[in-house]
Amino acid sequence: MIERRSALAHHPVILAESIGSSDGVDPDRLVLSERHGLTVFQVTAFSSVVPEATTSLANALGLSAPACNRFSGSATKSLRYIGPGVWLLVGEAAALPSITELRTQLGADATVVDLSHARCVMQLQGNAANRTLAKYCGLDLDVSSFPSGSATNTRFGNIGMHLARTSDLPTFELLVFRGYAEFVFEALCEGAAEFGFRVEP
Amino acid sequence: MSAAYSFRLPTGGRIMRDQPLDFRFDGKSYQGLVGDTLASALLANGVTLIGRSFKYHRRRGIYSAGPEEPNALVQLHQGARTEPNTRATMVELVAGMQVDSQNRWPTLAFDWRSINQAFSRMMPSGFYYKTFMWPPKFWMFYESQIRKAAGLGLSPRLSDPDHYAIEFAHCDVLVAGGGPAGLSAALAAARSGVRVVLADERAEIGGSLLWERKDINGHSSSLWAEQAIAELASMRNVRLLPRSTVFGVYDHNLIAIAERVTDHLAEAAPGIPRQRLIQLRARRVVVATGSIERPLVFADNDKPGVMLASAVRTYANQYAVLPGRRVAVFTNNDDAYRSAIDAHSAGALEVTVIDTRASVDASLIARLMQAGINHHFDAWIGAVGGKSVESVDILRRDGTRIARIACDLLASSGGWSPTVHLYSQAGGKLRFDEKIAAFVPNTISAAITAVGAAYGEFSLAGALLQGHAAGAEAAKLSGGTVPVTIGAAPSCEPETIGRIEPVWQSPREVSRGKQFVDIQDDVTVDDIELAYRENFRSVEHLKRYTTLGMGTDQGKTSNVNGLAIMASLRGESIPVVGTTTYRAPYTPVALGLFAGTETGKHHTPVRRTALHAWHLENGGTMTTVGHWMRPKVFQGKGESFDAAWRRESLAVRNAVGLADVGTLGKIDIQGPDALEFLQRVYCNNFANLAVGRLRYGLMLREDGIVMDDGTVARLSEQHYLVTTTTVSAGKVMNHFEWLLQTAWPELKCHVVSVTEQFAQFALAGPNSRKVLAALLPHCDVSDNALPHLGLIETTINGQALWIYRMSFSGERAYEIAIGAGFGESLWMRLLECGEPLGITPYGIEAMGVLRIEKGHVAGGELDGRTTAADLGLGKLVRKSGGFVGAALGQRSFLLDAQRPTLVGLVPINPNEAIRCGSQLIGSDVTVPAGAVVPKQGFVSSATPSAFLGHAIALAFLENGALRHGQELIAASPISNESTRVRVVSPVFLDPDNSRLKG
Repeated sequence: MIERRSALAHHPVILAESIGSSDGVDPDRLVLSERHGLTVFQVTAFSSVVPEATTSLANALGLSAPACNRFSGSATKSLRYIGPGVWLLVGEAAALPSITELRTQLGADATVVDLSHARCVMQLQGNAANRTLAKYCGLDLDVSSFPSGSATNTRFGNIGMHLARTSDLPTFELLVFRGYAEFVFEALCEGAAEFGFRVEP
Repeated sequence: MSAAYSFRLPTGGRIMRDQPLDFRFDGKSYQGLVGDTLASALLANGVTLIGRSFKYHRRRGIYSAGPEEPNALVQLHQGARTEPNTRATMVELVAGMQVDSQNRWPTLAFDWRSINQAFSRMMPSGFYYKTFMWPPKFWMFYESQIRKAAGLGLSPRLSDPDHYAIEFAHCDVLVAGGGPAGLSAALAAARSGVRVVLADERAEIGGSLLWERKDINGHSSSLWAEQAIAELASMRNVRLLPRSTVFGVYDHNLIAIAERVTDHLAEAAPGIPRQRLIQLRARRVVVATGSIERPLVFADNDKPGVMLASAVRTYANQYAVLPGRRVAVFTNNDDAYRSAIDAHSAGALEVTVIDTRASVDASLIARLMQAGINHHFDAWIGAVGGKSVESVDILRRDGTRIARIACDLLASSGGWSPTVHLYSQAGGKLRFDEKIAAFVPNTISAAITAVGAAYGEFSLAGALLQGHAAGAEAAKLSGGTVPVTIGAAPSCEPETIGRIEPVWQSPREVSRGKQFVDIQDDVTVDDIELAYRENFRSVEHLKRYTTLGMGTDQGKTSNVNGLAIMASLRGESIPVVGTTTYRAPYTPVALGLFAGTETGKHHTPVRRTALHAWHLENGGTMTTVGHWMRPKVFQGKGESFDAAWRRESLAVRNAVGLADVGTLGKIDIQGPDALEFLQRVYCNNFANLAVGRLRYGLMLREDGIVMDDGTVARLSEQHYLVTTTTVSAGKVMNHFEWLLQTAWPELKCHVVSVTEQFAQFALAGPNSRKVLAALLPHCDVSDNALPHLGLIETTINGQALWIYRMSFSGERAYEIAIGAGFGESLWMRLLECGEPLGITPYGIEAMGVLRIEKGHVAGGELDGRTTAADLGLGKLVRKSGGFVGAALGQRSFLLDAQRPTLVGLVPINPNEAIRCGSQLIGSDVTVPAGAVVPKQGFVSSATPSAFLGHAIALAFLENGALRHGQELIAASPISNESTRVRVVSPVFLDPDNSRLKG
């Protein structure tokens, strides 16, 4: 049988952490976890038909078209507008159309690329998440300028990253290149050490 | 008087008398208290000799109580944490601290180099430009001696064991400085609800509120400070940063702050950085950095026992230390009188005020008389007696003696200079205020304002008011609602601003001997006059020629005195001479802070393939290729590196090998203009590439030189997948994006990097098809279905899988791609399927040997100097042009038939090696030592070959194609090697490709 493994599967911290049940979400606890096996598509519209592509895409997903650097939807299915005519679709495979279906819906207006394996999706949750991320990301992540529903391409240190804020708690979602996932994970662990944190597999 | 003096006062101060701290200075044990700085603790113990000056090795003591300290520079800690040139005035005392003085040998009290003083006449400013010239060959000796004499402290020899962090931060209002103006500004801004950061360089925020004896709202100013801090600490929108120096202001209010997180702790907490570099973006900045006192300039003004007047009262009031019992205050202004009064209150036996001015406010005189303080007006200091201060001669301006008094503490004040550094770094301009004889901020910028003493407002009432107004204004301008409960400014007694009559040096009739201007760099009035005579008269030339202001203190107590002296020499006003440019950092910053976390294994990001863990567990000897980690070989137990790659390369040729090629760049290209795009970026033809086929692609730079090579696979009508070399993946992607966005925005074509999407393996060798068939029993992988350069998309256990038939090794080979998450599992499955067929994992070492054997060009040949024709690939280039590199590729010297072209080389003696990088020269040439020999080419790749049994090499040779069979010498003078070689075809095996297609 061919099995799927996470990019973090071999990291000693991941291997060592016992599987604990999270008894409710506590803002004072900083929690680092991975969202496994998500589907990630990049959709790029041809520049002359961005409005048409936007409509087709929104309809195909049953979501509203998000504004610049915002996303619509939820954890199971989200549409993120990250550049002129460029979107990321992030969600559970069961909730999203297949790439073939999507291509059919978009027709000649846009192209779709599957990046589901190319990204590792991590989640950082808790009050200290801001200050942890602030060690690697120069964006103003305060809720006043990066509220829930924000999504943007930015940097994690010297590496590209897609960052979204998925709740006021705060909860941040990071998408990084799979090849850099362990490096980023380790950096997050080191950055979070100051505040005390927990890894949940 | 039978009791020994105690320099620690019996009451008062903000030190914790019940919490003693042991420390050592120059090997001797002392005790201080929590709340002491190293300087105050040393003074409390009666230590007055702290160091030796830079050039003359004169005896020096503690001069100030703040960041401006020029003298008390010590070597802090030992071993890996040792830190040179640390200002004792800024070090929080910690239990067990080990401190050593600097720049002296063998001891501080007896320093050999103090003999320099005897030669001081031969060591004025710039003496090294005029000496050490002859004889020229002695320069290296002179240089080594100068190097030994230069500098003060010692650099650490061991790596810094501490870790540092960086943090990006954002706020609406940054207040730099937590004195009266700063606290007032922070309160006003914070109460309006905006995000406020208040940074102060000291452990306890409060600035002068902690050491001036003034009242606010009827209570001591320090109590008001404590209340203000408590209120700020309780507010969620406020971040207090004590022990934090705002050291630089950069474009668009990017502020650099050095936070000393754990330096004051005896033991650091795990996971907490030693220091933190905060890069803060602030909408508005309020500079409330106070001011720094200037000394008066007179002969021997550098002796231990001479201090800034305000330092005397800071030590008395904040640290409960009076470093002398017979105090003289030499001044030209009213403010220094506070020091006289405070010294008296602290219990000085005798206090004398020596004022250069002819007359002084009557109320001041009354206060002196009330306290029994002696005073002399229209008076100057003539001579300072003793190795440390023991006596002082008081003279009239014309040189007549008034008195000689016993004195062990000489407090000097020439006025105050607003600390305008941050304001100036931000581009703010200064003007000279005659009333206070100081440079003050002039223009008011929208983004940054200065308040309080930093603005030249020296009264406490004024500082509180200005701070309050600026804080409120900054909050409003940064978008905060105009405050509802901002409250009124705190109130205190109004003060009249004291009077000052500036004097910048002492008259020669009065004060003979060295009048120091820059105490740290040993720059005297004589040096400034020398600079003037030698025509180094601008303030910037004065600085560089004399080194005035170039020490670690950056002239904080000397710049204004120095430029004022130059102004009077030039017969011009002070503002005309002006100040030198203010540059960050404001005070010294540990280098580790700038490195941050990017040290050791974090220096460069690490990029891992899906097989990384497997490689490590199975003997993979890893190397880095850019950020990627790749296995060079897989060494079995006890197997040498050499044996490993030989075994691997033979396995590929004789059976089948498996290699991880996931690091190669992969770019997804889609759109109606995808083919047009490919035709423009590659110089060979893709118009006839059918769906389900792939082809080698050669990419040129705009100047016609080869940039990269790879493959282009056509997945469907408008969908291609391009591969690049590992190293050039990013470069090619950038190239594609740049062309599509700027040169050809009309093309309907999208490019997306999918390097990370697929795990990809090379399965190569005579048995490769059989392994594939075993892996995919349901899929037709015969040569009919999958010919050379064909591709198939299929599935395995329901997962999409792609097979590309292509070969880098020259053997029958396939590349297999699958979603990266399935990579490790698929690899294991392939090893299972291939086990009966002799499957062998191989690394990039074997890969390199195999491709050289086959004559495939790679990095050594694509070195940024070679064209397609040089590589023997000229036939691939489309004559019709229309691709990047077509035009400039037609330049005559790129078409020159004499250009070196690709050949193969074998050694005449089969046991000899060929060194990569060797130069090719004629074999009939005898080479005398030192002669210049014409070069005909060079070796670009070389390796021993297990399969062929001898060394082989690829090289570029003039007229190479016509010279097969000729003998040459491959010479490498750098490694003293030379090999006789024969020119052959670069394809060393299987020239008819039967192994490939067979």
